[in-house]
Order: sequence, then structure tokens, then C-alpha cells
Amino acid sequence: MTDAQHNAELLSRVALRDRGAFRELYENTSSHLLGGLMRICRDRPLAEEALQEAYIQIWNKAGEFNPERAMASTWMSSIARYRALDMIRKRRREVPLEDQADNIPDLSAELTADPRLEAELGRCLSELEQEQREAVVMAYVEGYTHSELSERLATPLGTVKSWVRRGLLALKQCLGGAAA
Amino acid sequence: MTTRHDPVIRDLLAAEYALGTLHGAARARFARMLRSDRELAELVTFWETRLGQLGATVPAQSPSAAVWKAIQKRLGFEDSADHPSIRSGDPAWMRFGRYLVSGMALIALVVGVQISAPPITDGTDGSSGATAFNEELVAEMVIRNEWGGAQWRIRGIPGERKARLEVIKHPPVAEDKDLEMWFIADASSAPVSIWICPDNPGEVVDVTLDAPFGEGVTFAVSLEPKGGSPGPGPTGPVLFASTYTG
Repeated sequence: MTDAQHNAELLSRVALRDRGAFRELYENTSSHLLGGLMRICRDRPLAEEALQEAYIQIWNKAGEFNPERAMASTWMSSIARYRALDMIRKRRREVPLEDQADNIPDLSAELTADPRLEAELGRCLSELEQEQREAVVMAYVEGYTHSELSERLATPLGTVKSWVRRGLLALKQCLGGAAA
Repeated sequence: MTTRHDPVIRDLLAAEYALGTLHGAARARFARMLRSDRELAELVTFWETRLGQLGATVPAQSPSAAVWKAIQKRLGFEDSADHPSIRSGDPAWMRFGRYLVSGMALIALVVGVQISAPPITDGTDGSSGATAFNEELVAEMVIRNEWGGAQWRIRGIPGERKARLEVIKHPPVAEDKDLEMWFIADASSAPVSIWICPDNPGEVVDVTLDAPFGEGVTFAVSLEPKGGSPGPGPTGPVLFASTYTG
């Protein structure tokens, strides 16, 4: 059984209120989720608060997980990520964007060759124009809004919106078009 | 065609929702649409799955111990920290878990309600069939689908080895398939077949359970070949499951 299958099984058991399965799932996945949340929140207490909220939702919504529609890791990451986005946008980022610039590696530069990405996504990202790729990747990984992207990239808001949208449309075309 | 129905715009909205760039009131509006628009939800899943791979590029970071403690406290199971599960590692439960993971839509909406507690008397002649089940039943649970619709009603008398099963609504299945209901007495028990669910809303059947009805018993429904599972346990995906919580 792969890790992905095991986590899906754990989620199914969590839906039946199996606390042991919940703890094992937390141990298997919390470090990975926190890594993503730290990139978005840039503040450990806030990221850990988002992580806590995410696992409360995971416990409460485990019955809605459908292994035929999504992988457990995707389902859980989305819950955690959306929670973090809600939190930072309600509270506004406490660290001004300009202060973060030196601390944030630019993931988009070497991304397309990253072995952790499935080949298809890597190839499709590499086919995007650089600005489009940068905007999409930064929005996802850093949790930037259009306005924050505009500020970070020192580019007018309308241009940034266009990069994101054109990038997404091109990605969809490259990834096969049809929904999974 | 309105923008709401334009496939390109719908896809773009789904993508921007998953990406996170859809925000504020537009995001809230879109999230409301997702609850009732299954096709839109599938578009979001497409994007969450693809974009989610970007998350794999971010280094993991271990949370502090306080996070797990806070989660336990919020969920009210601090007291069981040293005994996390009666189910973990149990061979029978693990076997069942493998069936569960193959399920299309595992649902565990538990609606266990003690409706009354009169003296339990059977009042029947002991024969089989629906008419033999005393209407003075004391516990009821409902198995619901993922949208909250009731599918089957289960009534039982705590402490007694029988239950009354009723079809409220039969989910559509292929012609060569049947839905089979299973009873799992507790975490250490294997599922036992109790019913090939008929596509006949209102139909009621009384069944004998291999353990008393009560808190912790689980009823599950799996998709099986016509006529039911060829084996002793579920062979198809478990589509529904509900545990009576008292």
C-alpha cells in the first residue's frame, strides 16, 4: 500500500470517528501541511493556528472525502491552504511585503525541473511565458492576491491579472482540458 | 449564455479559486455555488490536484507539540490521549478499512437519537417479518447521502439483537449491481451482511443482528455485484456508513 493509499484509508477511518487513525494521519501529514502554511503565513504562530483549524475541519469533514475524486493529500492541503488564506486576508499580513523579499526564494526559476513535480505539470509550466509562470507559482505557493502580486512584481494590477488568467488558460490547455 | 454558465469563465473561476487569487466577496459567492454545483466542484478538484503539486516543492516543517494538544482539546478527546483508539491495529477493523478506502463517497453522518425509553417489550409472537417487530422501538438512526438526504432508517432496541431497516430512498445503481447493508458490532468485529437493499422506498425488513444494538454499532452499505457480495465481507466500495452514538 502506498503512502497515499494509507492516508486515504486513515481518512476513511477518521470519518468513522477513529481517533487513532486521526492521530496517525496528523503524524503523517502535519509537517508537509505546515511547510506550505509557513510559506503563506510567514509567521509560525499564525501558520500553526491555521494548521490547528485545518485539522479540526479535517476531523469534521472527513466523511466528505471521496477517494475517487481526489487524493487525500490534495483534499487536506486544500483545506489547510484555504484556511490560511482566509486568516491572512482577514488579519492582513503583519509583515510588509517589501520586508519579505530577501527571505523568499523564487520558486518559479528552477521549478520546472523540480523532480518532485509530476512531469506533465513541469512541462506545462515550462511552456508558459516567464511572467505568467512566475505569477501563477507565486500566487499558489505564497498565497498572494492579485494586488500583492502587483506590488511584489512592481507591475500594474491589470497586467498581473492578465498574466495569471492567461497562464491558467494555457495550463489548462496543456494539461488536457478536461476536468479530472 | 450568462458568464455564470460560460464554460471558459467557470473554469477560470475554478482555477482562480484553487489558486487563491479569487478573494473577498467573489470567493465567498463562488464557495456558495460550489455547494450545489457538482460540475463546478469537479473543476475545482481538477485544479486543486494539479496546482497542489506545487506544494510538494515546499520544505516540510514540524509543528510544535502544542498544536496537537490544542486539536485534542478542541475536539474534546484529551482524556483519551493515552488510548487513542480502540480500532487501531485491530485486524478486523483494518480489513474493513480497506473496503472503506475504495469507497466512492464514504459518508458517516451520524444521527443517532434516543427517541424514548419505555419498558422494552416485544409484544410479538416471535415470528419473522416486519410485523413481528415491536413498534415501541427506542432508538433510531438514519444513513444519509453526502448531500444530507436520508437513504435508510434503522431502528433498534438497545441491548437487543434485532433491528428494523427501512428504505427511504434507494440511490441509483447500475443494473448489474446491488447495494448491500452490513452490520459491524464494534471495532473488533468483521462486517456481517444483513440486507440486500431493495429499490423500493418504504419497504421495511426486520433483521437479527449478531450482537446487541447499541452505542458504537455501525451500519454500512456497499456496492456489490447483483445478488450481493460473493465473499464473506464487502467486495465493492463502501458508499455509506453510520455509527450509532446513543
